[in-house]
Amino acid sequence: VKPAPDLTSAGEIPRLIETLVTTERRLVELTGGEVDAVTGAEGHMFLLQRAQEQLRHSEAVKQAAILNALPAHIALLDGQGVIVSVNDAWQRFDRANSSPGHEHGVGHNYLAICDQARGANSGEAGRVAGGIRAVLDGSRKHFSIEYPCHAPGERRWFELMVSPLLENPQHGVVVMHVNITERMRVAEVLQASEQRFRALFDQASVGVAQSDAVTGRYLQVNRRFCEIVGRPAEAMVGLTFADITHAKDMAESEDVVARLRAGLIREYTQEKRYVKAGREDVWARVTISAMWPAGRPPDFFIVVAQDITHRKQLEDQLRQAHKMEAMGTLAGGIAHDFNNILTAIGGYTELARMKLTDNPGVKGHLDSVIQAVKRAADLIRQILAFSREQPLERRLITLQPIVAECAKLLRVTLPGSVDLELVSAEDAPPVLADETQVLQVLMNLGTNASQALGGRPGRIQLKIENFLVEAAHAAAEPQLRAGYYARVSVSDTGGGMSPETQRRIFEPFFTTKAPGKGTGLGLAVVHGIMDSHDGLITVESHLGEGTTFHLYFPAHVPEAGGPSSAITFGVRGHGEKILLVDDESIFIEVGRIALAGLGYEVEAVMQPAAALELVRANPGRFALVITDQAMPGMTGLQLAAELRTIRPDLPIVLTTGYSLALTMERIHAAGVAQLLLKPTTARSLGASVHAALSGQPISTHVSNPPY
Amino acid sequence: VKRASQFKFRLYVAGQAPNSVLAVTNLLALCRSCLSERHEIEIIDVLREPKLALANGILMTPTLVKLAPGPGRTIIGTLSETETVKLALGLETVAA
Repeated sequence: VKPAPDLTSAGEIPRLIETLVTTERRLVELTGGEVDAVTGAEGHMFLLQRAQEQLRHSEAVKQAAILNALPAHIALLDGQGVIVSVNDAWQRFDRANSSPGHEHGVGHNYLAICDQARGANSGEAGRVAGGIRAVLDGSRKHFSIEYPCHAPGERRWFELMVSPLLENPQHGVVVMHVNITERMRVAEVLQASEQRFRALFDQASVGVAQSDAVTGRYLQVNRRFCEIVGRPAEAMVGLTFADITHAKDMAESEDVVARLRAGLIREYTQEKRYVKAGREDVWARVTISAMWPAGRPPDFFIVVAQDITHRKQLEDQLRQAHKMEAMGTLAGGIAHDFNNILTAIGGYTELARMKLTDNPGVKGHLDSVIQAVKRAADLIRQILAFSREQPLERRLITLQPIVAECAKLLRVTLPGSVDLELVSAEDAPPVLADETQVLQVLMNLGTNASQALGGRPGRIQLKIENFLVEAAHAAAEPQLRAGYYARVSVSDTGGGMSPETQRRIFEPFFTTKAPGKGTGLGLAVVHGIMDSHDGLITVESHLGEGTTFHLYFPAHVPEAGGPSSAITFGVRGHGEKILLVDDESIFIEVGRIALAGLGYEVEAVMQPAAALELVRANPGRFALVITDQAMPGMTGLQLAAELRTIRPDLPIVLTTGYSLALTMERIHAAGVAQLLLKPTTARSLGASVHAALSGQPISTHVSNPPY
Repeated sequence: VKRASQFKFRLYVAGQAPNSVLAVTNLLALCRSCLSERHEIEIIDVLREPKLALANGILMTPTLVKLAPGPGRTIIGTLSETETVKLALGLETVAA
């Protein structure tokens, strides 16, 4: 049973309260209001009520000031989500952003507001409501969300954070709403900057890679780097330089990396080879730099690589070409000496054969010797062709047989799947051309055509026609003149060439073939040969539509009067006096006998100076002078020019085995009537002497005409 | 002439209560103007150390006790009436 309230104490309590209030009021009076606290009997301090109120008030003012000074929008929600209190920033934001009647001020239920949100941010509002509930029921310690909330004309982002007010979240939560637009903008700018640099990195035309300085592993590689080393980016991750560096360059690369790591160097450039998976090695110019974060060992390396394979190939080709040239010079020199010896052998053999009247057996043997000499001369011509010191032997010929010969030779080398067509027009005009070189040109183009087909079925056409170059066409091609040409065309149905390739195909060392498969000289030589024939080579090609080369040989127009071909055999002299000048006694010996045998009277000297003296002493004494070109002290051309100053109408025949330095212009200028190529024979000697004496136009005489 | 002696004060306050804060402010101002470089002040918060107030017979805060030089004095209040306080502490001789 509960005792009833004590009536005595019920009366005493109001009295005690009265005493308390009176006591405090009296204390304040006595101390003039200057006291805050008084000491109790046990040392407890009683803070006077006025001081308490003042303290409370000043704390509240300070806290409110702090909250109002914050840029964040802050609201205090109670356990049900009702907004209990907000700071100034919340109020201002609320006023600026809420439509009238939809404010989020004190007294509204924030959870309900979020739940009922519609429109652009309703998704985020739903998540916010969920977050607040989670913090209120204690299942989450904190909740935060970042979301865009763009106002008209302004892009904005906010972060909303929810934290429990006290230890027990049921007392309510604090909602903080912060404008993070600036942060997001910076992030956007950073991201854009990152994208730009990423693009720069990815699209760079040089290979760029980043590798870990400690492990050496590639961290990232750009597209070009992948192309250079021939591996996809995925395959590069985890590899180190040692996995793709050529064994021959490994020592240098390892040394470089060690020195970079040790801080001995910051940067190094080397030319090295990378091993391409399953393909030929690639040469690259590689610069590797160490990235030093202030004062510490390098974190990573930046590798910049350029593909210089093409340049290296060119260098190789150039070396090869120099080698060829050196070999050519050597071979040319040997061939020159051989010519002199062959001249002696052939000359004496012919003399012996001429003197032989009645011994068919010996005559047959001598014929065999002459045949062998011709073969040797042929061989020497080939050596000279290789050394590119082959003299041009332009004669009046028709091209049809050569084109047919080319077709025959080509047919043998072509696979059965390639259809070879020969179109030969009978009316193609004769031209002044070097048969051997024309064949070389045609074989070269034919081989190219065959390679263009690359083993696939296709068609190659060789065509010769009589082609009239119109004035307009000639105007477009400076090297063509209006008129008739023998035009030879070589067409294939291969892959064709791009315009870039077409522009460059005649450049020396330019090749579209795999390294080692072509010197890049073929078409350059072809071009040179066509130039020396006063002709032209053009190319027509489209990618995927095959290629056609056209060779233009100007039609030979015979000069009025006189025979066009100067080759005449078996003409004998009638005692005309001939001066023979050669520093080789063998040639003098052979020449003297041969010319005497042909009915001429011969005087011979071994020095050009002696020849000059003889002519000067009696300019009319000799009907003709035959001089060698290569002599000590004075060349044949110089001698010819000197002689012509003494006697301008003196016919001169120049002999040479080695006409590299001779151009027709120089020969004309020196007044040379005929050119005689060593090795000479009695026949060629006789023909040139006869031609010179009879005043025929200049031509070249060879000892072994191919027909 | 005897060299000016060092003043030692002990001020009892009740936390950040307004009169106590005022007393601290006034005492510091007084010492700066009259006793520069020759005073020591010890402030005791009776809310933190209530036993100390009882032991020293302090009944109310703010209370200022002059410990040195003698004679000792005890002043209760905010120390706002500067002239009176100075007189009580012996900081100024009475005009002749």
